[in-house]
Parts: sequence; structure tokens; C-alpha cells
Amino acid sequence: MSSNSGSFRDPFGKVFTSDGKVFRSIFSPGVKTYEAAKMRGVYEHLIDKRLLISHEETQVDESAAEGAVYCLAHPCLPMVSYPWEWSFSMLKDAALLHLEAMEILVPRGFWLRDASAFNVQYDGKQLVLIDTLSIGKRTPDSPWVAYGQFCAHFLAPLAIAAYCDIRLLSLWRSYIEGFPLDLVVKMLPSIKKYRPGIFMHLKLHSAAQASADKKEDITKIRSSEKIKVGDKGLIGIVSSLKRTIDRTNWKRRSAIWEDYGEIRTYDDPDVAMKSEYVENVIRQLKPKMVWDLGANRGEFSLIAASHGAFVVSIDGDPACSEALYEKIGGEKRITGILPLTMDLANPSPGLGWNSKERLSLSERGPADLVMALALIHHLVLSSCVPFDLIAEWFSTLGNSLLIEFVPPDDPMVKKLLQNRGDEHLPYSLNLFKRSFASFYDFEEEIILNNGRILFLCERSKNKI
Amino acid sequence: MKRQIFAMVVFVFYMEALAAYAYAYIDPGTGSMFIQAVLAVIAACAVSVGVFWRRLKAFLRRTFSRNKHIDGNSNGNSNVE
Repeated sequence: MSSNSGSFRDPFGKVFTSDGKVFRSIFSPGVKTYEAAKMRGVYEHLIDKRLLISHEETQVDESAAEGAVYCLAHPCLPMVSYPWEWSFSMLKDAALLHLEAMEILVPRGFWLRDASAFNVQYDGKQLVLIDTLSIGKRTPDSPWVAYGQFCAHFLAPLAIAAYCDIRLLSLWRSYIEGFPLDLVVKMLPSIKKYRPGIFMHLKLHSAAQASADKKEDITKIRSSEKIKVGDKGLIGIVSSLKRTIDRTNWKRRSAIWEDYGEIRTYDDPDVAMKSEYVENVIRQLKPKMVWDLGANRGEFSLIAASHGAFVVSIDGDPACSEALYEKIGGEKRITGILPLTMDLANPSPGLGWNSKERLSLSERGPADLVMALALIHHLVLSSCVPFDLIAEWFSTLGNSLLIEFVPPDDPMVKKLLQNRGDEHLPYSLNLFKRSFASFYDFEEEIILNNGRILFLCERSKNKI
Repeated sequence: MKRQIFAMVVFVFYMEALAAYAYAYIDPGTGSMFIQAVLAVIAACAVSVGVFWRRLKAFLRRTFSRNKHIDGNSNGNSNVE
């Protein structure tokens, strides 16, 4: 049995893994709520609507945590991701998922005990709530206990991304308990602060927090029990949040990379040859998990997913992951792709308590196949990371590697070097091969007409 | 209801006048709990206005469609004539 490093805050229960399966122990403080929700068919309803991850009660044996009264088995998620990696629309959908669940729960006398972005994950088909125990019995006529958290985890980051700059979503890495409302209000353009929903849920809300803090006498315990919010009022607040979030939109502005498909230096036959080769590799290796690094708009991720692989599609440009997220959620719904935004020269680190609560990218691997197509020249020449360090890092991420070498005389490489003179890291095919040979065995290579070379490598067992 | 709305307006202006953020040794949720009482009133007002608006629209639609119907009939009659 191994405890989940991110599951320790809730006195109601705890998640752990055993033999590669995911379980949840429920302790005595959570039993009453769990039994009530089960009796009323709340879990069943949410699971049927595909809002909540499914579960099955299993026997409480020695593998469960000490003091467990119930034990639930959950399906495994293909890959855990965090809000600092999500596209704008993914965060928005996660917010709407919470509100949709609230609309179902409140009339049944329940609610969400918390509204954390970390409670939402992609299950391979869609976003779902993964914290079964966050569904709790509603305290009658009480305000929503998770309202503050909802605004800090969803509305504040969405507003700041939509109305200031999409790159501000990276503030998540500093504020993993949610964006401070006063900070967000300070940063929002004045005209946006007075949009009705933003004004109520962020500006007034932040002022109320400041007021409560100022007036607080720490020698007295001030109860909020006198504040009454009935079901209608609560549903009204939920609807208002829903409207506000619905109307908070990011007008996608890219960024060179989203348009890269149009400006790249490939001829059509080269693109076809590259796509065909990627497809052959996928057919040959039959990977279950593929990480497509520097995925751009996910052209090759889509090929891998069409052959049944689960693909984590990573790009540094938020417009690229947004475009891919929109594409897979469009009319022809495509499953098995998780688009993430991440600067690969500064990948997600371990964060939270003891830096282990939220896992680093490397800790979430390994993948069966890592694809690094048209990426290496950016890492060496723009981010100034030498070949050997890249090879070493890639070798920790997956077993097989499909990598594209872009030669020094390629127009894209020349463009990257145009203002650098000779002050750049050494960049040549020989050095590339020597560095990667320290960690990998080269299995295959194919040269495209434009001089770029695709290498298929296997992590070498002897050299690591 | 009037008194509630008046109290709410005063509260909103009072909140607006507060600017400084103070770090405090309290549960940060207290302010979030209090503000919901105000928002619930606003939401309830919005729902009432919404209901009123929908009824008004339905009434107008009924009235105008009846007139149209009557007009249609009278036109028809005149055609017969």
C-alpha cells in the first residue's frame, strides 16, 4: 500500500494505491455523509451524468489505511495534470463541472464541501470530479463553504487570463491554494472590474475578506452561523457564477507556434513522409502512453491517439494547447489526448507540502514512447540546454524516443541564430548522436528531403 | 424587501470604500461567508426580475398575437366581402 502524496488534508478519507489500483479509505468522520449520499442515490446520479469518477465498495483489508470504515476502488487515471498546465478552456470546463454538480446536489440537500481545481482530472474521455468525499450533506441555510475557494481556484485565474494576459495562469505555481482575490482585483483593468459578475464575486468578495480581516478580534470567536442563505439564494449564487464564467472568454492570440503549421519550412511530401513514419512507429511499438513534447497543435498526437494510445500533448504556447483542446472537444469528439501547456526548459516541478503534494512531470512517467519532433533545436539554441542534458532528461521520461534532428543549415535553425553570432552552444549532428548514444541505442533513422532526420531510439539498459 | 435592498446598497458602498488588505490570524473564509448573504439577495432580486420579465414578455406576446389573429380574421372577412 502506498499513500497518495496529495491526499492528506481531508479528515473524511484518504487515497492510496495498491498493486497499481487506486483506493479510497473512508474514516469515521466521513461515514455519515458517505452513507447519506449513497442512500439518496447522489453518487449514482453524478456518475451516470459523467460528472463524478465511478467507485465500487470493496472489502476493508490490511491494505486500507488504519481506521478505515469503508474502502472504495476507483478506476486509474491515465495521467494526473494540474491547473498550471491546463489550457484556458480546460480550466473553464473544470469550473463549470463544479457548478453543474452543485445544481444537482443543492436541491437534494447536498453540496460540494470544497471546490478545488485539483479535484478535477481528465479520465481519458472527459473531465470528471475525482474526490468522491467532497460531496457532503449541506448545512441547512448556510452559505456555501467552498465559495471562497471556488472564486480563488476558478473565477480569479480565468478573469485574469481573459482580461489581462493568458500567461498569468502560470501564477498557479506560486499560489497553489488559489489566486488571492485582492491581487487579482488589483491587476484587472478598471473597466473589467465593473462587469456585474466580476464586481460581485471578485471585487466585493475581496473587499468583504479585507473587512472581515480588519474587524477581527482574535480574542473572540465570531461565528458565521447567523448568516442565512437558503436553497434559492444558493442556487442563485451558483447560476450567477455560471453566467459569469460562461461570459469570461479568452480571445486566442498566438504566439508564433500556433501558426507554425503554416509558416514551417516543410514541403507537403516531407510532411506526409513524417506523418507516415510516425504512424508506422506507433503501429510497430503499440505504446499505451505517448508524451508528445513540443506538440504544437497536436498533429502527431492525433495520429498516435487514432491508434489507441493515450497521448499527453505538451507545448509551451498556451494558444497551441487551447487550439488542441478545442479541436478534441469539438463536434467530432476525439478522446485519449490531454493537451498541456508547459515550457519544457522549465517543466512542472514538485509543489505543495514537502514538494511532493503535486508531482513533477518526471514523477508522472515513464511514458512508453516520447516524441520530440522539431523540438531539439529550440532547447539547445533558444533555451541553451546542451545535448547531453537533454538526452539524460528524455531518458528519464520514457523507454522509446522518436526524435527529430534539425540540421544547422535548416532555415528555422538559421532564424534562431540570426542575432546570436557565434555565441551559442555547439550544435551538430555528430554531437547530437554522441550525446544521445550515452543514454539510448539508435534503432532506425529516416532522412527527409529537407535534411531533417528522424531517429527512433530505445533507452539503453546498460548505460543507465 | 425595501429595507433589505437599502441595507444591501449601503453594504455595497461600504465594501467599496475599503481598500487596504490586511493579513490576519483568522479563517480566510469569514469574508466569503458574509458576502454570500448579500449576493443571495442580489441573486433573488435577479430571479424575481427574470420571472417578471418573462411574464411581461409572455403577456405582450399573447396580446400581440391575439391582435394579429383578430387582424387576420378581419382581413379574411373583408376579403370575403
